This record gives sequence, C-alpha cells and structure tokens, in this order.
Amino acid sequence: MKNKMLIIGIIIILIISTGCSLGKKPGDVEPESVDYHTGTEGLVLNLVEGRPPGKIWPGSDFLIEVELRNKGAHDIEGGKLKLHGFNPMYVSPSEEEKPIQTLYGKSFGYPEGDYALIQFKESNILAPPGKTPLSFTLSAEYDYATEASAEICVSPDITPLAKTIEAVCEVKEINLKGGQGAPVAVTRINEIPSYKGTNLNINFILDIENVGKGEILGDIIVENVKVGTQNLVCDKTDFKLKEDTKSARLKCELNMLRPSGPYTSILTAKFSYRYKTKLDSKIEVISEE
Amino acid sequence: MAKGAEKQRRKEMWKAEQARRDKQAATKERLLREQALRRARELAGNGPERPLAGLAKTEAAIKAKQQAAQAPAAQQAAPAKPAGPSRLNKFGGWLKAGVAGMKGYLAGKLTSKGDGEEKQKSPPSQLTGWIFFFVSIILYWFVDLATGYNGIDIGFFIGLGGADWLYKSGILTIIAIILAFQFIFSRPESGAEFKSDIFLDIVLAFVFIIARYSVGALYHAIFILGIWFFLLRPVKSRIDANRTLAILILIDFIGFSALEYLLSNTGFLGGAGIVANYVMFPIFSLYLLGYLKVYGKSGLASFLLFLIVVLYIFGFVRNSPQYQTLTSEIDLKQREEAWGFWKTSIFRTKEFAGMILDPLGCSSLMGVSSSDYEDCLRERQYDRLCAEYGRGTEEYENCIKQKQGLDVTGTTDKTIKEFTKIEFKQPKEFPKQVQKEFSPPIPMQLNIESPKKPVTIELSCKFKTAGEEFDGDVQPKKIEEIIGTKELTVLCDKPSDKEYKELKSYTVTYTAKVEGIETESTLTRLFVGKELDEKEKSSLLSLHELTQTESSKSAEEFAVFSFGIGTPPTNPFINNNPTQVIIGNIENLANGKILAIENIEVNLINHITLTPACLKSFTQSGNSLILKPEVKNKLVNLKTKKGERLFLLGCNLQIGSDLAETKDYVKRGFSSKMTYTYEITKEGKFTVAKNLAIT
Repeated sequence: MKNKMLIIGIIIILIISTGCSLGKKPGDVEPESVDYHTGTEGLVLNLVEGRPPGKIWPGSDFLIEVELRNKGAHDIEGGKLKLHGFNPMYVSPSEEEKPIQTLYGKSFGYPEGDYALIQFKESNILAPPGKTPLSFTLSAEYDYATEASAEICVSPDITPLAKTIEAVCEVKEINLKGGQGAPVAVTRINEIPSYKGTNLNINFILDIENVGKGEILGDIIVENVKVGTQNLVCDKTDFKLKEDTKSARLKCELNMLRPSGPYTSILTAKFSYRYKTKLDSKIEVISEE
Repeated sequence: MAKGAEKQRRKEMWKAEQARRDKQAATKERLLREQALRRARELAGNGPERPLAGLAKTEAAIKAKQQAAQAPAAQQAAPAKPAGPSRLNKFGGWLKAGVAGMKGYLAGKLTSKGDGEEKQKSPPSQLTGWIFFFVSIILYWFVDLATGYNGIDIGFFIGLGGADWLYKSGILTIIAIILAFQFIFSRPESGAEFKSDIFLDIVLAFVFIIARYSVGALYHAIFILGIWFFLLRPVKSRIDANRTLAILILIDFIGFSALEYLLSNTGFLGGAGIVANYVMFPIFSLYLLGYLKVYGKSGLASFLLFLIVVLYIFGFVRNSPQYQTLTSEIDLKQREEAWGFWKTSIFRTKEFAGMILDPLGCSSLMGVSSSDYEDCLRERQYDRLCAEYGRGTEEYENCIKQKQGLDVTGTTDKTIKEFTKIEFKQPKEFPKQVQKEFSPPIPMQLNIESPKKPVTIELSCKFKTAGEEFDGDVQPKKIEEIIGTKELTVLCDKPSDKEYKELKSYTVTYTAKVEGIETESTLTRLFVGKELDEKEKSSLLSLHELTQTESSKSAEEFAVFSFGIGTPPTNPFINNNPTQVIIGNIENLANGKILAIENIEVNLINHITLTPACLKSFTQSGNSLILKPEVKNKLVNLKTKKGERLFLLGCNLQIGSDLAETKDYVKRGFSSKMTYTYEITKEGKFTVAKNLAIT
C-alpha cells in the first residue's frame, strides 16, 4: 500500500514539474530583456599584463599600459588619466596626464562596455637604494551619471496599516539592490504620504551611496527626479555624501490631486558627478649585486 | 505604688552602675600609674643604654609625675558625666570592654613589642650567629651560583616606563595588605614605630615583588627575615631592627646594581668594575661577622673582618685604575681632564636624578593620554638640558628648539649593500702569548670595502699594560686612495727601545683613521595636498613601503647626516600647509669617533624655498644646502657616541603651491651627502711568557 502511494506521488510530481513546458512548441524562444542599469562599477582600470614588467633592470625604459573599460551604463566623455607617485629621482617622467577618449556605457552595441588602452613610456634613471620598489598610481577622473528607477505605489490611503479594498499596490520601503550601472547608487526609497488640503502630498526619501571603489570629486548634482512624467521638487539641487557613512539622503515632494484609488507608477532619478578611480602598482628594480 | 517601686528600682540600678564605673576608673588609674613608673624606671637606666640618658631620666620623672597627677583627676571627673544607665549604653559598654580586652590579649600574645619589654631582651647565643654566618656563605657560594642570582638590576625599577609600574607590579597592593595585617595584629606603639614599619613594609613589598621573578631573590628574602627574627629583634628595639633590616635588604637586593648604575651614569666608570661582582661583597656574611663581633664579642669574627679588609685593599685598590691615577703625578692636562670629569659627573648626576623624578612629575598625565605623558617627559628633559642658558632667555628658547630637533633620527636600510665598510678582524695568527726575547710583530687583519669612492687610511697602534703605555711601530702606516675590496694585514711591533715584561698581560690597540668616507641618506615625502583620513594614509604607506614615522634612510655606515622634512619632521605626508620644518643631525652609527666633517650637502627640490634660519650653518647653491667652511672647521673630534646625534640644521621651508595644493598626491625624494673622517679601533690581548733558561 505504501509503495503504491509512493509511486503515485512521484508520478504527480513529475507531471507538475514538466507541465509548464507541455504547451510550448520547440522554437518558441522569447527575446531576453537585458537591463544594463545594474552593477556598481563605472570606469575600471587594469594594467595590461607585462606592462609594466614586474622587474626591470636599472636604467632601463619600460611601458605602462592601462586598459580602461566602462562597465557602467553611462557614457564617459572628457575624462583624463594621470600617472603619478613615482619618485622623480628614479623615474622620468614621474607624472604624466593623458585624455581619455569617449567610452560608451553598456548598451546593446557594447554589452561588455566600451574600452580603450593608454600607454605611458617611462625611464628608470637611477636605481633606488636597497630594495625600495618603484611605486606608482594611475588616477582616472571622469564625469558620470546615475539613473535609477523604481516602481512605487501612489495611494490615497495614508494610513499604512489600513489595506485598500482593491489592493493594487502597497506603500512600503523599496530596496534597490545591485546598483544602477554606476558607482553612485540609490539604495532605498521611502514614501511618506500626507494631505495638504485636498491634495495628496507624498515625500519620497532617497538614500544615495557611493557603492563604487573610487571617490566622488565635488558635489553630486540632482538632474531630475520624476514620478511618471511629473517632476518632483527636491530639498537640494546638489549635495555631498557624508564622509563617515559615504551616503546622503534626498527628500523630494510630489503634490497631486487625490487619486480615486491606489495605483503603481515609476519613480526615476538622475544624478551627475565627477568620479575618480585609482589603481596602485609597483615595480622592482633588479639589484646588480 | 507601682510607680514608687519602679523609681526605687531605677535608683538602685543607677547606684550599681556608679559603683561599677568607680571600680573601672580605679583600675585604669592603677594601670596608668604602673605604666608611668615602668616607663620612668626604663628611661632612668634599667633599659638599654641610650644617648642623652640624663635628659631622658629628667623627662621620665616629669612624665611620671604628670601621669600620676592626671589619673585621680580623671577619676574625679568621670562620675560627673551625665550618662544615664540605659540598656543600650550598657550593651555598648560591654562591647567596648570586650573589644578592648581582645585587643589587649592579641597585642600581648602576638606582638610583645612594647618598649617596656625591651629591657628584658638578651642577645641570642653566639652559636645562632655563627649558624647564620655559615648559612649566608652557603647562600652566596652555592645557592646564588646555582640559581645564577646576582642581585636585582636597578633597571627593573628604572626601565618600567614611569610610575605606573607601581600599579602594574602590585607593590601598592602588597604594601596595603601588609599594613592592614600590621594594624590588626601588631599595632605600633608610637609614631616613630609606625614610620619605621611603613618603611620596612615598602622595602619588603619590593622584595616580595622581585622575588616572584627570581628564585635566588626568594632565598635571600627568607634568609633576611630569619636574621630579623632570630638576631635583630632580640638585641634591638623594633625601630632599630626594622631600620637595619631595611638597609640590609636594600644593599643586598639593589645596592650594588644601583651603585654601579650611578657610577656608570656619572662617569665614574672605574668604580663600576670594582662593585660589579655581587659575590665579592657578600653583605649578609659581612654584617653577620660585624654582629658577632659586637654582640657576641667574638674574637674570631674580629679577625675574619680584619682579614677581609686587608684582602679587599690588596685585591681591588692596588689594581684599580683610580689607584694608578692617584699615584702618578698630576699635570695640567690631567687637571683639565679632572675638571671635565667632574663637570660631566655633575651633569650626569642631574640627568640621573631627573630621569628618576620626571615620571613622578608627569604622573598626573599618566592614564589621561600617553602622548601627553611622553610630551611631558620630553619637555622636562629638554628644560633640564637647556637650563644652563637661563629659562626665558632667547638662548634657552633656541636651545629648546634645537633639542626638539634631536628627535629626528635616521634609519638604516639593511638592504643597501654598497657602502664603505672598514673593520679590523683578529686573525688566527694573533698570538695569545709571546716570548720576551722572541716577539714578532703582532698581526691584525684590516678588511676594506670602499665600492664607490676612494678612502685614505692612516694606521697606528699602541701597547698597554698595568702602569705602562707606549706607541708601537705599525706597518703599513698609511694606505692612500684605496677603492674596491681589499684585505690586508697590519703589523704592530714594539719599539726597539722597549721590552716586554715577563708574565705581564698586554693590550695592543690598533687605530685606523679613515679619511674621505662618503655617506648618503635619502628621504621620501608624499605631498598629498590635504589632510588624509587614516584609511588613505595606510593605503599609501603600504604602496610606497613607508612607515608612520619616516626619517632619512641610509646604509649601515659609520656616520650619517640624517634629516626629516614635514610637520613633525618625521611625518611622511605633507599636507596643504605651505610652511614645513626641516631638521638635520649628524649621527654616529658605530662605535668609533667622528674626527672631522669634510662636507655636508642637502639636496632639496624645486618649489621649495629656504627661510633665512636655514642659512645659519649652510649656504644655498641652487636647490642644495652646503655646509659653511667656518662651521666645518668647528666640527672636529665630535664627542658623539654610538646612537648620539649632533644637531646642525633646523628651520622652516616654504612649500610652493604646486606641491602644497596638489590634487593627486605626488612623491618627492630628498637626499644628503656627508664626507667625513672616522676613527675605528680594535684591541687584542696577549701575555708574555716566562723566559726559560737555556741549559
């Protein structure tokens, strides 16, 4: 009796698990939707292998070649790459700056992001004393932008505990994980609805963080924050992240006529800033002893 | 009716209480009178003989009279007190009487230390003294040799980083425990006894703390307590016994080490050798001989003491350098040297005292901030060193600034292999013994490595034995412009007019004066244009293999010009402050002497401007600072020992905006080059054999 039940159970599970594909015909492949606005990286620097070599002979010339890859969703224009940190007593030139060509962000045309190679030609003019290495830093500065979007709930019912009858959507904290294809990301959105007269007033609190490995130079400029096509009024037009938490909070206000019932909409926010990414490395000078 | 009975009952109770109080007062009076008489008898001469005995007798008579007169007055005053006989008072009285009785019993049973009992004490038998003497011999010659114990190094107390060791070591706790027990079981009778108890407690606490670290010290502690109990207490008052014990403990445990330290630090080095050996001065054995002589009237002890004094005179004094100096004629040069010696001694004594007192002076900052405490210690040290200029004067302020600069020390980079290395090495052929009649020149090997620049070496040698010193003939005398690596043998022969003395031990000293040594030091600074957070700092330090305090680096040479730039000058990061400090010192890195400075050059970089103070000892040439000739002429025979520094450069630098306000950090290197003459020496010892008669 037990064995019979077991066999019947297995058959049922098999039917359920294969049932989804039962109606499909071979060759019916739906197009895959790719969201390029994910990830926490912008411009990424990598040294080309062997350039520079790990060890060099005293007095020799050497090349430093950097691969710059735009792994974010925004295009880079007007960036620059600087080589610095060499001691001019031992390496010439000890500092050099080169422009970064336009690098397109991730898109259908560039699914892995655009990339470029930049070379620096260096000379060791004197061996440093002892085993002191030749350390250097590559710093890339570029303008970048973050575009975040999230589905929000606009509800005439401002008491969060009372459920709407239709239950189309629910006002709740929205966590945006995984970034938006940029080193600066909106990580959380909170709604605080209230009434001003007969108008529904919703304050959107956006938490913004530096989730990348570099640093933000100067201020973050608020380009626009919208719900649908309606622009929100924010408490700041530009801001800086707090040094300790590397985060900031932006409050944006939506003022509208009271809707008849709850509905979902899309909140979009765009910020622009200048970002700096660094890469450190060192070379050993072969001792002649 | 009942009321009247109650009143009568209370009256009777009051009368009974009154009678009890009268009896108590009478007993108290009797005891006081007895005590006063006993005291008077003791002071009048029945007790141990004391100085100023006549005065003591008069004083005792007056005191006895006063106490006898006061006692009845107290008895009369007692019933006048309006103390009603309540139940509570009754209970309080019994409790008080009980506690007093218990205390009296304990005092009587456990202490028996009252002065009144001193007169009854008799010295222990001579045998006890001799037993202790022999045990002390065993302690010094067997126990100490077995445990390797040779007293406690005074450094234990000095090198514990300030007064916090008092807390850390637990000494205060132990003192508190000993004091508490003493108060409960053996309460001191007078203020003087109390003071002597405290003094002994402190000494004992030190001993017990130290004993934890050494088995030998523990044996000594036990032995010394035995001396106190069996030998000192029977013949001395509590105060005297305590004092003697404390002195013995201090001498035995730290006396020799402290004396040696004091002598070494005050320049009286010759003395240090004499007191260095702990076993040579077995203080307990010597004291016990003295004890037996005085209290046991032992002739043998007197003889042994005399013998030991004679042995000491012959064993130490005749061979000591002091004796030799004293017996030779004092000339003008020696007088100058002596004056210098005493000046140095006074200076070092002050330094030593300051070193001891500074931690106490700064103790209020301890625990608040370690950096404040360190700063306080440093400030006190600088103040002491500059006090001779007069506090508040410009010279004093300049001196303080200079001293603050003394903190910049260079670091040696052991990975730098190419530098001038010259050393003497004793060869296998160096003789241990020579014949008087056949004594070939004494060889010494000289290893030279001068990979970059040629150096010239002048050689000399001399022989020294007890009471005699003479120059030897050295071969070669001079090695001109040598470059690269070379090993050569230097021979030192006695002059033809001198002869070795049989059975004497000789020290031959070889000296090499090396001219033209060039040493380089390099300094790295990161101009960061702002104040960095700790994470950024640590990332950059790691990338550039730098440390939080970064001074100039050089090879492990004889000497170097070490310097630092920044705020403070050891900070590897230079922020956006356009004014920064440069400090430079000549530093002796080896055991020889810097005889002369031929040149110093400090290479700075573009965008850095010198302030006038930088040109006090240096002249500017482009981006370099060059030592002025007149300063160079003064820098001869520098009295800097290994690790010591001579301040030479200290001023502000103005940093140009290109560097001070840089957006991306940049690294810059500075260097110094010093050319100098250095002297190294090497000693070797040999003896002269007895001449064998040829048959």
